[in-house]
Amino acid sequence: MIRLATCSLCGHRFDPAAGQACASCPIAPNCSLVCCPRCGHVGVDPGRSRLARALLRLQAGRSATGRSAAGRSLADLPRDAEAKVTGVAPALGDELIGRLHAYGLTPGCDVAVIQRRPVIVLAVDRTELAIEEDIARHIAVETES
Amino acid sequence: MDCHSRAAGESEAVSGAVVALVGQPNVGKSVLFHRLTGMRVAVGNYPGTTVEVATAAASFRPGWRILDTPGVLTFPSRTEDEQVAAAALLDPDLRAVVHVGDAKHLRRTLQLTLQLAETGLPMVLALNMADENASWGVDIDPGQLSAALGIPVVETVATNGHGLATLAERIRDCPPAAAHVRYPRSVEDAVAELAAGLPPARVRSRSLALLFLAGDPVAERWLAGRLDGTALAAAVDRRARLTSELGGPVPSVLRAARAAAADRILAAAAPAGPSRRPRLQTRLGRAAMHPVLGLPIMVAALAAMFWFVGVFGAGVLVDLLETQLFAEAVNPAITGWVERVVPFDAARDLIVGPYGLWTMGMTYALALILPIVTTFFLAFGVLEDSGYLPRVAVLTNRVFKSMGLNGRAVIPMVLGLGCVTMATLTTRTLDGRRDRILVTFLLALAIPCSAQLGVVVGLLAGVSAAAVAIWSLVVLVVLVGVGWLAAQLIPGSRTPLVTEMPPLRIPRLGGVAVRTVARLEWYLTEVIPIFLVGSLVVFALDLSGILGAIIDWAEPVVVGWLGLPAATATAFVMGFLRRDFGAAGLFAMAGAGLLTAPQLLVAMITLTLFVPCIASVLMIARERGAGAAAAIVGVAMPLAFAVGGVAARVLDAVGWTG
Ligand SMILES: Nc1nc2c(ncn2[C@@H]2O[C@H](COP(=O)(O)OP(=O)(O)O)[C@@H](O)[C@H]2O)c(=O)[nH]1
Ligand SMILES: [Mg+2]
Repeated sequence: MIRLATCSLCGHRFDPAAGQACASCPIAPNCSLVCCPRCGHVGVDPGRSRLARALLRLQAGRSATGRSAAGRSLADLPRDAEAKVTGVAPALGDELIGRLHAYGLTPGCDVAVIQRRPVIVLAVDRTELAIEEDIARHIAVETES
Repeated sequence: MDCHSRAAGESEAVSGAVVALVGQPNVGKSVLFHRLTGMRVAVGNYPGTTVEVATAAASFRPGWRILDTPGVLTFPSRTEDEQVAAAALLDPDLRAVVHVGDAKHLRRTLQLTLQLAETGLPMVLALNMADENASWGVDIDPGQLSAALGIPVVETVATNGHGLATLAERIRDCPPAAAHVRYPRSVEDAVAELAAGLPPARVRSRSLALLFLAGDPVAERWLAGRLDGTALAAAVDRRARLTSELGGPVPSVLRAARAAAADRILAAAAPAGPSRRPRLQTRLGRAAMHPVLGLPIMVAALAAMFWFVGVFGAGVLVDLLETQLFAEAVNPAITGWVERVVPFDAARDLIVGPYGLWTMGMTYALALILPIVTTFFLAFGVLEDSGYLPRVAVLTNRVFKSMGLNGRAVIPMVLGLGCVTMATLTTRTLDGRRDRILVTFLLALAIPCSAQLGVVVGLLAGVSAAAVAIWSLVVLVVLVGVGWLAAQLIPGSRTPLVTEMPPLRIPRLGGVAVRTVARLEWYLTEVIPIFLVGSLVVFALDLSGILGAIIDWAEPVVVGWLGLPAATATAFVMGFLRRDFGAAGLFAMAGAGLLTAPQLLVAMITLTLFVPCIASVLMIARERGAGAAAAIVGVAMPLAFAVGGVAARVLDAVGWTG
C-alpha cells in the first residue's frame, strides 16, 4: 500500500518512500524528514516518527470507543465492550489456539473487555485473561447492537 | 525426564502406589498436596512456580505416595512443565489420578477431565476452590457430574480442609475412569489402527494413540523407546495421513469434540452463567493492573518488599547476627577452640583463617546471606500467594517487549533479586526455549541477588545517594540495552503475552511459611555446600600461589583499564566464586580507605555485571546445557569489564567525586 504525504508548503501529494536522495543516504532508515519533489520544501513524515506513531495509536484507541460495527477483531473493541467470539485465525498457530481454548476462549464464547492498555485484559466466563494486541487482532468478534 | 528422576526414584520404593495430583496451574494442587501428606515433603518444590515433581507419603493411607505435578493447561503437552506432568501420567507405578480443577472454571476443568479420563486410570475429580465458586453464586451438582463422567467428584476447599476427608476416601477406592469422547470417523480409524500395535502400558492404548496423534512429545518419546524403527515410522506416517485427511492440525479436531462433550455435561450438571460477582476482590484485582492506578500500587508493593528485605533483613537482622552474634561471640569462641585443638598452622588457617571454611564460608552464609534470603523468600511468598505477580507481568509487558520477551519474564527477574540460582530454575515456566535462554542470560548478567544487593546498596549508600542512583541506572541500562541487543541476535520470534489473571487473594500465612521453609531448606542444603567449596577453592588457590598469579595476570586490566588499585583484583577473583564475596572484599578495602568514591562505584558496577556465583553457573549448565553456560559466562565477563572501564572514564571526565 502506498501512503501518500501532502507537502505543507505547496500542497503536492507524493509518495515519501520514493525520495531519490534518500536511497543513498546512510541515515535514511531513521530519518523522518521528507523532501517535496515539486517545490523542494523539507517537511516531516509522521509515519516515520516513533512519537507521532505512538500518538496516532493513542488516537486510534480513543476513536475505537466510538465504533460499534460487527465483524471486527477483539483488538478493535473499546473498554467495557461485550462481544461474542466468532473465530480464531489459524495464523495464530495451533499451540496458541490450544492454550486460548484451554482458558475458555473459543469460537462462540462471550467476552468483555476489562482494559485495553498496557495489555488487553478480557473476562471470558469467570476467567480474566491478558492477551497482547497482536493476538487479539486475530480473534474475530461480533457485537450486538 | 531428568527433572523428574529424583521423585521417580523415591516413588519406586512402593510399587503401584503413587497418586498423582494433576490439573491446570493455580487451581490449588500444591495446597492440596500439603494437606494430603501432612507436609512431609521429600523433594524441593516451589508452589505457584512448581517446577519439580514433589512426592511425599500420603497421610490417609500407609505405603502410598502423593505426587504434586506442575500445572498442565491442556494436552498435547508443550511447555517443559506440561511435559513433566505428562511423564507423571505414564509412570508405571501410578495407582490413581486426582484431577484438581477450579470449581469456578467448570467448563475449562471438564475439558481437561475428559482428556485425563481417556487414560482409563482410576481417577477422582476434585473441584477445588468451592468457596470462591460459591461467592459467584453458582451451584454445582457433584452427583450429576459424577454420573455423567463416571468418576467420583468431590467439592473441596484446599485452604480450609473442607471436603478433604471425602476426597481421601474416594482416592482409596476409585474405579478406572470410563468417560469416552467420540471423535470424527477418520480420527477413530487412525486411533484404532495405531492402538492395535502399541506396547502394553499403564494407560489405555487409546489414550496413548490419541496423544501421539496430537503430537505430544512425551508420548512420542515413550513410544520411540519401545517400538522398533519400522513400527515407529509407520505410526509417524499414519499421523501425517490423518493430518492431511483432516486438512488441519489434529489437536484442533480433538479439542472441538471434547468441548462439545464437556458442554453437554455442563448443561446437565450446572446452571448456566454467572449470577453474582465477588465485588471487592474483583475491583482490587482490576485496579492492580490498571494502566494508571496499577503503577503506584506496583511501586508501593515493591518498595514495601525492599524495605522489609533491605532494612529489616539486611540491616537489623544482619547486624544482630553478624556484628553481634558471630563477630563478638561465635567466631572468637570457635577460633579459640580451633587454635587449641588443631596442631597445624595450615589446618587452622583452613578452618578459621582469612579464607577459612568457618570464618569465610559459614559465617558468610549463615550471618549475612541467610537473614537476607529468608526475608526475601517471605516477601516473595506473600506476593506469590496473593496472585499479584501476574498483574506485574501485565504492567511491565512493555518493557520486556523491548527486550524481545513478554511480561511473564518479570517473575524470574524479581525472584532473581532474591537468589539468581533459584530464579534460573524457575525460567522453566517461561514460554519457549528462546525466552528461557534470554532470561537466564539477563539474570546472570544484570540481576544482583539479594545478598549482593544488600552489600552493594549498603556500601554505596555510605558514599552518597547519587552513587546508588548511578549504579542502578548503569545496571538498568545494561539490562535493557543488552536485552534488546540479545533479542535481535538470538534467533526465533518473540512470544506474545497470554496469561491468566487469578483473583487477588489474602495470602495464607501457613502457605507462605511452607513455601519459605521449602526454599530455605533448598538454600541450606544446596547453596551452602557451594559456599564451602568456594572457600576451599580460594584457600587452595591462595596456598598454592595461584591466587597471586591470577591477580598479577588480572592486574593490567584492573589497574590500567578500570583504574583501580591492584589489590581489588583479589575481590574480583572472589567475585567469580560468589559475586557478593567480592563485594564484601571491596567493603573491607573501602573501610581501610583504599578506594575513592568513583573507584568504589566502578568496582561495584563491574562486579554486579560479572558472572553470578558458581552455584548459578552450575544451575545454568544443568538447566540450559554446558554450552549455553560457557557462552553466557564468555559474554558476561568481558562485558562487565567493558562497561566498568567506560564508567570509569565517564565518571573521570565529568569529574564526579561522590
Ligand atoms: N479461596 C481458595 N483459595 C485456594 C484454594 N486452594 C488453593 N487456593 C489458593 O490458590 C493459590 C494457588 O494454589 P497452589 O496450590 O499454589 O496452586 P497450584 O499451582 O495448582 O499448585 C494459592 O494462593 C492458594 O492459597 C481454595 O480451595 N480456596
Ligand atoms: Mg503447584
